[in-house]
Amino acid sequence: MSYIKRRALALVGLLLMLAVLLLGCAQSAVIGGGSAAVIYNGILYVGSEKGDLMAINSETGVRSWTVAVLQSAPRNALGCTATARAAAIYGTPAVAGDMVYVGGYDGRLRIYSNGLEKARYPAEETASVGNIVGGPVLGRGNVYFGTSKGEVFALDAVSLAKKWQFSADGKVWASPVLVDDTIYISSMDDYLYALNADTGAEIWHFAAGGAINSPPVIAAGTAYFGAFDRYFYAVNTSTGQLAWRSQAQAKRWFWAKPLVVGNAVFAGDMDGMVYVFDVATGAVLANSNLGAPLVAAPVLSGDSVIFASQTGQLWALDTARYQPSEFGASITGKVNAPLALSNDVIYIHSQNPETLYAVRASTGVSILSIPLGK
Amino acid sequence: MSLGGLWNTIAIGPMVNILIVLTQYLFGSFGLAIIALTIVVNLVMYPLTKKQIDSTKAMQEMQPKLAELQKKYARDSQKLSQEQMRLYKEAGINPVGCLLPMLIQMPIWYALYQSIISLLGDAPESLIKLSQFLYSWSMLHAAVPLSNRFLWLNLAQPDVAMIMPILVGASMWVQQKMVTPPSADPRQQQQSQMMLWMMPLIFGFMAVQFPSGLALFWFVSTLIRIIMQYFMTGWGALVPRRAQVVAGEKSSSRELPAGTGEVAKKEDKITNEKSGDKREDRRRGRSEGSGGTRRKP
Repeated sequence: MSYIKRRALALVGLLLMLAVLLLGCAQSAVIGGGSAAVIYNGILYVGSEKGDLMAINSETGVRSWTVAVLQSAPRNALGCTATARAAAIYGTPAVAGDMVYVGGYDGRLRIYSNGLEKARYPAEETASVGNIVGGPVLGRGNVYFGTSKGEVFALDAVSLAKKWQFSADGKVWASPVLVDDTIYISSMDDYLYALNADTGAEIWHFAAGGAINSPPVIAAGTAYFGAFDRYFYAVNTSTGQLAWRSQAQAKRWFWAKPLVVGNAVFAGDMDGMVYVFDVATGAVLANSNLGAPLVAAPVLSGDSVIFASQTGQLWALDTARYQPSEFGASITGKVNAPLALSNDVIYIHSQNPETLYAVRASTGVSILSIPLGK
Repeated sequence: MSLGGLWNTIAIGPMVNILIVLTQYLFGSFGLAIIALTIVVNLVMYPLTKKQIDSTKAMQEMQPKLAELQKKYARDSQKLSQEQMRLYKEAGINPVGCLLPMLIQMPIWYALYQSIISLLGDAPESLIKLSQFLYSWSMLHAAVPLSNRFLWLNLAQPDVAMIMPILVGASMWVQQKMVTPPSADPRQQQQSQMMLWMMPLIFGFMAVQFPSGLALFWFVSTLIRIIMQYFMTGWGALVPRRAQVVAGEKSSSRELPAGTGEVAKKEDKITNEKSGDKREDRRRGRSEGSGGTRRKP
């Protein structure tokens, strides 16, 4: 090999290394995903970060079926995944009978039955309504969901024909919350919207001081939610007026959906703090540091509120004294998806390695760990 | 603290927060914030960049002499290295002088690049990760997520109109052409040609694949580099020397007294600043010896 060729090869190699290094950096932004599990008639339905929808027997952990909702992101010439394409399913699927509704990060809502696609919206092969992150919600004959483009859709639950569409100015990543004939939408344009569930007409909107990612909890005529301005809010659902705002700011954002138990509302922040507010006044009843960001929404099990920190540690806060205690064994991998509870079993979807854990809610004993990777 | 944690604390964190603050003050435009921070970082690193360009240019100017030495002492490597060192010493050049500023700058560029990637994240994981970088100032928390809209671009997505990839590739070609050393050596010419096309093609290709916010950062960086390069060394190989001379002569005949062509005057000033009179005398001698027409008698 001539001297010139050797030098040329060395140079090309150096430049390719630089390119790979840069591509490697961008990989840090690649989408992960993975939905919470939903349990229906003894079957767990869960969406994976690779874009698979799985039906799993909740007793045995055996898969009934798996369907590739989304294809894995194509790889470029250098073998790396481009950042803009992803195959994740973030939102908790919604189930009615044998119909499973799932929103994909590719911007399509699909209905599956026994592992077969029955319908999708939009129907066109290349159309997309924007990344769907929050889970779809069923009710009043409709399916409701929001998108990264700030659009909220109400589709006929059978035909997926569009009933109405509402436009917010920021991403709608939170699952809509349907209560009676009103649907509540958290948006990253800093607003909480109350819409007529049948027409999409705006009833009121409330401006927080920062983006809202947490779906509100509606209890006793009040919507409770935290925002990126690190305040926690209570809003009157009849008027859209502020009932109270937390006195002090949290250290980091409120991300996950809070939980109301009796006279207390439990809210975890991204700094690992759990705040317990009085539902009527907003006074802080207690706060506890759980040591790692709280991204996953908690569940109520008996007299305990169960949190999973992002690093996989489970905690139980008793609803009488609000004291935290470690709960069962820790989970391997990151926990971002909301926890799910059914028949005294808590289901936890963790990433890296992607696994669905089943933990006995009364004892904290691990029952199953189901690998979700291919 | 892990190495990654330390890097995040000292490099990514500050840049992420600065970018958010800039976005807030620049009409909520993240695109303007990228441009502003790229300019600021370039200005801060100007002394290093200048040193790098000067060293590179000086090394390029020495190539013919080095080639002569290599030819002369092809069979005596010890003597060759002695003579090379002597040559460097006489010229007042550090042979790795162009590498050191580049090595110092690389982590800063890398941090800026990672910061932009962090802020452009369009998925929940990216935002979750970003939350850990934010300082406690209320404005920062409330400002996120930033708007990804800038001109025709969605900064978090590749530019489907392909304008940014073309701008990135074209600007890199121009910059590369400006620093391409003139050479009669076919080997060196071939290397130069490869460099001239390889970088623009690689970055152009990446701009097709990557969020356009990064392409914007690459384009602005290259543009600033072109401007700096122009003021330090002129158009270089981009504009053929003959054309530069003619332009200089026309300009001097209109505006300057005879004998002070603009190009020559600019180069003299730069050379004097960077290398002192001794090197300047040598260069002048070489220029006169090779029949250069830059200076009128």
